[in-house]
Amino acid sequence: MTESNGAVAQPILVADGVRKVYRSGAESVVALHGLDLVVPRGEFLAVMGPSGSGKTTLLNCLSGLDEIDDGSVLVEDLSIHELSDSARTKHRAAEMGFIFQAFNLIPVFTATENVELPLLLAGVRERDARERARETLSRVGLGHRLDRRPGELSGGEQQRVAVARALAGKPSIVWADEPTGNLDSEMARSVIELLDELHEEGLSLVLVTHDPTVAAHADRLITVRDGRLVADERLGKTREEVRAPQESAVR
Amino acid sequence: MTILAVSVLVALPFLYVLLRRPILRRLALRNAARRPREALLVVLGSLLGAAIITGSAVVGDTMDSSIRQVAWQHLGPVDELVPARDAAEWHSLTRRLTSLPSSEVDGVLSLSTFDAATTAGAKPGLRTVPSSRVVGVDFEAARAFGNDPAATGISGSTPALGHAAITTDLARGLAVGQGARITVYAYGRSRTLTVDRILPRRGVAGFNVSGEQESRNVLVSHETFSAMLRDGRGRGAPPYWAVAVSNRGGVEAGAGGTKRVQAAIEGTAGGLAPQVITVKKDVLATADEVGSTFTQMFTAMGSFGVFAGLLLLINLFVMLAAERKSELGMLRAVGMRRGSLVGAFATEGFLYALAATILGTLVGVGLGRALVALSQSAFSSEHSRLDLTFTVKSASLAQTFTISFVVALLTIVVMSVRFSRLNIIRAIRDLAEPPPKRRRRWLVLGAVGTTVGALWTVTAISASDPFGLLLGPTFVLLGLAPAFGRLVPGRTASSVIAGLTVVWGAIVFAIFPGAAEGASIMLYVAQGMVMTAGGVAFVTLQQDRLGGVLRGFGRRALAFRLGLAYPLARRGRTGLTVAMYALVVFILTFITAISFMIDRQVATASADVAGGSQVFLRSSKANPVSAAALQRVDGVTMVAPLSQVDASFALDNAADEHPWPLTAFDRSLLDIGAPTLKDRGAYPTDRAAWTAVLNDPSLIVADPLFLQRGGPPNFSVVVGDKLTLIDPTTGRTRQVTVAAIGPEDNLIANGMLYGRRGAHELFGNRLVASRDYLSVVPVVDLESFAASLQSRFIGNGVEAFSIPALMDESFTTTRQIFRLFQGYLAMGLIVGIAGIAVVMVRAVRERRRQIGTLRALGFPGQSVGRSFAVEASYVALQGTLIGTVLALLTLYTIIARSDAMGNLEFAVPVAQLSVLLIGTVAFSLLATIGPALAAARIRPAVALRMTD
Repeated sequence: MTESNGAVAQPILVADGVRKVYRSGAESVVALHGLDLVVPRGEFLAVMGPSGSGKTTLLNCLSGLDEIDDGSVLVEDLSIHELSDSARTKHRAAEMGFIFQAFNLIPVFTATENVELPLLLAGVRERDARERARETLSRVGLGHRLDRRPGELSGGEQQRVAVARALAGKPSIVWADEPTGNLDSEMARSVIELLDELHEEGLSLVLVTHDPTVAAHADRLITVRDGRLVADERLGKTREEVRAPQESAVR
Repeated sequence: MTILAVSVLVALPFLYVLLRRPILRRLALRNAARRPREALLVVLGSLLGAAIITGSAVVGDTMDSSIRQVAWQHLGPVDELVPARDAAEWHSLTRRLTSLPSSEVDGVLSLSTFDAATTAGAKPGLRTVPSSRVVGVDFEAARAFGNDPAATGISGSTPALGHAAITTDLARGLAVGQGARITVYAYGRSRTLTVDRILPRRGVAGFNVSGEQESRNVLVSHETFSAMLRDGRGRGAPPYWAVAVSNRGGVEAGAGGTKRVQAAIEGTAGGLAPQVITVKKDVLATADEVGSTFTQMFTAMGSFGVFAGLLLLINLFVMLAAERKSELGMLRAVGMRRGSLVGAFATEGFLYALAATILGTLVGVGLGRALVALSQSAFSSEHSRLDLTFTVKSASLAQTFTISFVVALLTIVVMSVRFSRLNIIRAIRDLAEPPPKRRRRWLVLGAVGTTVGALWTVTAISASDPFGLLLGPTFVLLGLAPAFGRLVPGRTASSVIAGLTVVWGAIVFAIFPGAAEGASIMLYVAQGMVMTAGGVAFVTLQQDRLGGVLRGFGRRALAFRLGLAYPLARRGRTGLTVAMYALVVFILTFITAISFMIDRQVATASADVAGGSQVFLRSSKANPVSAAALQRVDGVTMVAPLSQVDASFALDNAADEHPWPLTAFDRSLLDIGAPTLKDRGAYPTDRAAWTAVLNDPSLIVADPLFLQRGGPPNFSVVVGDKLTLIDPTTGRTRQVTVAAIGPEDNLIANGMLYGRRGAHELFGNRLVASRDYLSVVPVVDLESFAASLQSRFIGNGVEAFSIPALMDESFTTTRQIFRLFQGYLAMGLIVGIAGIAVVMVRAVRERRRQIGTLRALGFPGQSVGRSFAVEASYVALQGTLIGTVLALLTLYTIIARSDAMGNLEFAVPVAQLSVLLIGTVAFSLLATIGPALAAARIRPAVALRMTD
């Protein structure tokens, strides 16, 4: 947990003994078995594991989207599961960004309106929100698609809008659940490069993926199996090293 | 049962799918059972149409059978009456008619009646019934009459001289029982009779052709009847001598032989020139007419709710199809043929339609019961009553079931066919549909529509056909749309066409004012539908602009913005929901506004009917109070005596005779101040018109309600109409021309007004002045004054009324009927409100993932709920405003520019419409609470997990 200059980075996320149980009638399934995790600020953490291992559940519980049955989660030193739903919602709006596999854009809003949504939720003035939304969209290469609705955009463009939406509010941490899962390899690469850039600018990122080439971009990779953290490795690859196998895979 | 066979026939393809196509059956059944609560909502939303149609039919059945009850209660076996001029002719007729062929006739009965006043007890406990009737009849003969003693209502032997049997109605009025002594006043004398027994209001015992509900009969022997006549003196009208004939076949079915029996009577008593009054046939015809009028009226008004129900059904299926778009695409991708897809989807709809129609029919019976209960109070004023007998006919139920079922199924099949035409890839990937292609066939169809519309318009102008005038140009406009759409942008073209459709609907009867006069209620239904469709289409096409303006008001409120985003983005669906509201609110506003305007007319109408008088009085025809006696009463300044007789009228070039009362007047009516005419034709003043009719026996003042038997008019008499006036006793006739139209005098019921000289020539000594208009010195309380007149002239059977009070009573009845309509129409509003609840429930399901995303991004739960409330309010408010504005616009043009609504003055019931507007939006919001709360409670991770 050291920064490049050797100083100890402040953790942005501390999970302690997080346990999650899904119940359906008399049956219950333990999805997370008392999981511990610390994510330093500015880290790009990839989460991998087979289907049904608990990756998405982990992301939902750590981000406060879902309740936990035991343990605690501190985000920016705030125990999010002790907050009321309303306070947690406000905290999400102010500090977090989300990217989903299925883009999850609001179909009746234009690209700009989708991106300005979290800004408005965070209390940014409408004019400023619109301005920042446009800037962010231009930054992700969609300056020419500002007023298009999701139905009028390609899958890659939709995911770029989703990335822009996650970033527009300048969150402390971005949660991405299989952000490239619905994209072809070309589009996937452009999205992951975008995330890379953002991470290099200091963004904390937690990304769930099945794809080792996507995970290879991360600083650190944890592997989850049957609700348990079974591996935690630091990836020391350079950007070039990461790109090389990916490009060959594309080829 | 034939009609039910239609239901079975249309159900066959679906039954085949359910029995023989396992995959389609599985898809249909499992999709229907997948979300039971939502399936239930679909059924509940769809059943209201069937309920409304069934409710209308039940009201019609009840009205029909209630009036048919009159045939049982007032006539029983009596099918025809053959009146005689006097007792001698009566005896001759009786003798002749006993030889009528027994194959056609199962009874001939001579009876005679005169009006009388009856009293019982002594002051201060004296009970009086001013308008009762003495009936002279032989009880043994009466019981044998028609081969059905029970139907005659007669029991026991003929009362002895000085004795009588009385009906339950009279017994109740006098508060007497068997053995009591009652006093009967007629022909200037009183006679005390002992009551031997009380008889029901049925058949001969309840004999009554006055049109009143109660039969207050004193049944005596021929001897007692003759004695009362013999002892009498004074100037009463002669008794009504008649021979009753019973046709073979029972009380109702016997009327089928009326024509043959009538011919037989005319053949048998040819020398006596008998006048045959086909009383039973007329009553049954009236029952059928009133029954079908009420059914039509309620159905016509309910049709707005039914259409709203259909729009809801379409909306639900559009939502279902949208939700299952990728599933449908996958089914096609794995090899399911389009026809099978239609089969699976439509069979699921068939299950909903079947359940909804069965439940809707049952709910409709309950609705009909409630309407009948409410109608009873509307039809029971102090001086007018119709007893309603709740009736549900299986034939009507079968008919309404089939109509509802077939219409719902057709809608479902059409929607299913439409959904099956999907692009597999776009469906699987849930991509938006491209804009529709401009097809040549639309141009061809448009040309056909324009041609048909133009031809219809030309024909309608020459025939003054209101439907053609309304719909012909509408067809032309719609037909021009495809061509116009090639010249200007599609949305502009459609907006212009929609706008012009509204404008045409609003002004058509201002341009052709004569066409709407006397038009059926279906015209206003068509007009409402055309204008609402045009209005909703116009607003739907302009939603972007409207939304842009509204968003400006709520820029900071994200919930407001999100609430508007969905209805603005899905214009088609929004249009369907808005149309649901607009349709129902249109007719509700229409009826509310008319009721309000009529209500405002009470004072004017009262003054019009009263003319220069303040009190109206009627007395027993057999013992009328004289004008001189009335003149002597303190406070009376002037008296105008009138004489009413039962007359018949035949329309020009028509053989059918229509019984209608005729009232003869003399110069005193002009002196006291005659009622204000509704239409005086070419006469410069009302007085000139009255004078002309008084002096010229070929002229008549027509009753504006002539030939109207409840419900909307299907015939309107106009100045210049030629009629044949007939004395139904003697058969004497006279041609008359309608010189003017009188005021609607409702409960006074003068009928046609005719000069006394001409009336006397025709009706002779049966023309007796037994009604009077009185002008009085200004008195504090006209009603007390009228009551004092009744007490003073008990023996004359005087009933006196304050004219304003009597008019107010009739307006109260009208008011109650309108309230009944409003209550009934509010059922349609339930369709709208239930519809928005169902649409919102489905919207929560459909947007689950989006709500999850919004919540993940930090959108508060309450704001999600609020956005649903904003959406519901926006749709409800828009529909309500469109319906209200269009209804007022329509009414304004009709009232301001045509005579279709008589002398109504346009006014806006601001308070009632505000309640309607606020109530509709408030109830719509209430209906949205459930879905809004459900949306607010969606946990983001759950929503995202379920969908991702």
